[in-house]
Amino acid sequence: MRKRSSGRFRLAAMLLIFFACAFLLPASRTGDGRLYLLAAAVPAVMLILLFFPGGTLFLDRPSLSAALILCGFSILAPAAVLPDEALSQGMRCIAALFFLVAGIVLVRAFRPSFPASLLVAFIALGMLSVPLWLPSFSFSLAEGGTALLLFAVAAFLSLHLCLPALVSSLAGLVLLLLQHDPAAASAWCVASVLVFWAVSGSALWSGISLVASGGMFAACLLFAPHLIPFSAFSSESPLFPRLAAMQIIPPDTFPESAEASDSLFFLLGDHYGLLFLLFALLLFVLFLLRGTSLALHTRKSFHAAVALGVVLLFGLRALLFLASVMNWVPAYTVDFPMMTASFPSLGAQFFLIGLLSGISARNEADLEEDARLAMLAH
Amino acid sequence: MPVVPENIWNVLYTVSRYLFPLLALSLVFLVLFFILSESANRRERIRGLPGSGTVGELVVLSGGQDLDVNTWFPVPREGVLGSIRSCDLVIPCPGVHNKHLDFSWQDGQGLLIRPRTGCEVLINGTPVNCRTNAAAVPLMHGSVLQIGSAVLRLHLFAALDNTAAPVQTPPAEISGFNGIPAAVPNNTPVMPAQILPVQTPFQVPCQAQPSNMSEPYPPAVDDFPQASVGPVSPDPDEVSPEAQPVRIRRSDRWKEDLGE
Repeated sequence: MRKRSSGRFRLAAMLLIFFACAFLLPASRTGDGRLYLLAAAVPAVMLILLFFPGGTLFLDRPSLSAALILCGFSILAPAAVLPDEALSQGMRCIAALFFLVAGIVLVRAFRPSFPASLLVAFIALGMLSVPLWLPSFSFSLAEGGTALLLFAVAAFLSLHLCLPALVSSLAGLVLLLLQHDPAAASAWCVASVLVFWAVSGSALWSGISLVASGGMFAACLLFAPHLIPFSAFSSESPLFPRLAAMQIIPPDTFPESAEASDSLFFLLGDHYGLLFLLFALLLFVLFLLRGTSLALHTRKSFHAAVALGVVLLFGLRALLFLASVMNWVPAYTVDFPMMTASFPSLGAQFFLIGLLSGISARNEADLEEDARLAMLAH
Repeated sequence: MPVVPENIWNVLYTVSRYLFPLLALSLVFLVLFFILSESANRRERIRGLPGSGTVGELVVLSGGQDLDVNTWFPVPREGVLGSIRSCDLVIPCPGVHNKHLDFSWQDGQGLLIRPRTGCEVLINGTPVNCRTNAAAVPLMHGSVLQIGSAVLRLHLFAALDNTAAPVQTPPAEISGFNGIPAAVPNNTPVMPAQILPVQTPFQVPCQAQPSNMSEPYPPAVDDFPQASVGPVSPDPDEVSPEAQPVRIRRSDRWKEDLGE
C-alpha cells in the first residue's frame, strides 16, 4: 500500500513546494495579501483534490494532477504583475471544478439509448445555436456544446446508429462555422471524423463522414467565405515579440507592427522562460497519454469513444494554438487548454476532464467486478 | 504583510530563474512516475485476474476442418465476430462473413447478438438476422451459437452472478442454413445448460467435532468393519491429462495461420 501511494505523496510534496515558492516570491516583494492568500490556497486546493477519498468522487488522480498543475500555472502567470487577475483566475478555476463533478456524474449515470442520446444531441445543438438566435448573449457556450455533442455522437456510434451520429456531427460543424469560429469547427471536424473511424469500424461510414465534413468546409470557402475569416491572419507571427520578451531573440529582429498576444501561456513564458513553457507542454502531453491509456482500457465502445474524443479535442486545440502562434492558421481566439482566462472554456475543459475521470472510475469498477467474480468462481 | 529588502529579493529572483524550471521539470517527472506507477499497479491487478475483461468463452463444438473441437475463444464485453483477423473473435470457417455480427454483453440479459446485414446465425436453433430484436434471443450460459459451419457453446463467467436469468436449453439437433451443410457436433454431445451453483465466498465447512473437546473419542478400529483396501480412487481434481478433453487456445494456431 505504501508503495502504491508513494508517487502521489512525492507529487503532493513537490506541488506544495513549487506553488508556495512561486506565489511567495512576488508576494515577498510587494507584500500583497492576495498573493499570500494564493500561496496558501492554490496548493491547498490541489492537495485536497489529490488526497480526496477516491471512492467519493471517482477522480482519476494522474490526469487530474496534470490538469491541476496546468491550471495552477494559469493562476501563476499573471500573479507577479496583475494580482487581481490571478485571484480572478483562481476563482474561475475553483468554480470550474463543479463542471468536473458534472462530467463524472454524467458519464457514470448515462446508459446509451436512442432517446437519451437524441436528448443530449438536441441540448448540445441548442447550446451551439444560442449565439445565432440570441446575439446579445455574451456567455460563449460553444465549447460546452461541443463537449456535449461529442458525448451524444459517441453514444450514437456505440449503438451502431451511424446516420444520427453523422447528422449531429455535421449540424455541430455548421453551427460552429456560423459562429465564425473556424478553429473550433476544424478541431471538431477532425475529432469527429477520427472518432467515427475508430468506433464505427466501417470504412464506408468513415469515408462518408470525411467527405461530408470536408465538403462542408469547401462549401463554406466557395459560397460563404466570410465564415472563415482569413483576414484574421496577421502579417507577422505573435511568436517573435514573445521570444523577445523572454530574451531568447533580440528585440530588433521582429517588426514593430507585430503585437504581443495576451495569452496566459505566453505570460507564463515571459516570467519563467521558454524552458518552463516546454515543461508545461510536456505535462500536457502526459495528460493526453493518460487519456489515451484510459481509452484503451475501457470495455465499452461508448466509453472508448468518449475518452478518445476528449483526448482528440484537447490535443487538436493545443495543436491549433501552437499553429496560430506560428501564424499557420487564423485562430487567434484559441487558448492553450487549461490555461485560458475564459470561464466557459475552462468549465467545458473541466467537464471533459470529468468525463475522463468517470471513465477511469468505470474501468476500476470493472476490475473490481472481475475480482469479485474470480472470488466467486474459486 | 512582510516585505523582503530589495537586494535580497534580487538574489531570490536570480535564483528563481533557474530554480523554477528545475522544479517544473521535477513536477513533470513526478507526474510521469505517478502515471507509470498507476499503470503498473493496474497491470499487476490484471495479471492476477486471467479472465479480466472477458465475460466468458466460446468453445468450439464442431468446426469442420478449420477449427479444432474444444478450441476456445475468450469473449470480451463488446466486439465483432467474423472471419478476418481484425475481428475480436475470428472464426475462419466457411459461411462466416468478414464481419459477421456484433456482440455486446448486457448485465442481466446476456450476450446480445446483432448479425450484420445479409448475415444470419442460429442461437439454440433459432434463426437470428439483422432484423431480429437482439434482446429477444440473447446468448446465455450454455447457449449454442451456430455461425456458418461452426458450432460454438458459450460458457459465461458472469453467469455466476446472473443465475436468475432463464437459461435456454439448446435443441438436440441443429439444422443448417444458407446452403451450408449442418455441422453436428462431433463426439461432443450437446448437454443441457446447467446453472452453476453460487458459493458464498466465506462459507467455511463446519468442523465435525467441537474444537474445545479435550479428548476426542477415538473410534476403536476393531469395532467397525473395515472396508477392503483396494486401489485408491483418484482425486477428482487430479484426473490424468489424458482423461480430460484437450482445450486449445485459438492463439495456439496463429503461427499455423500465418503460414497459410
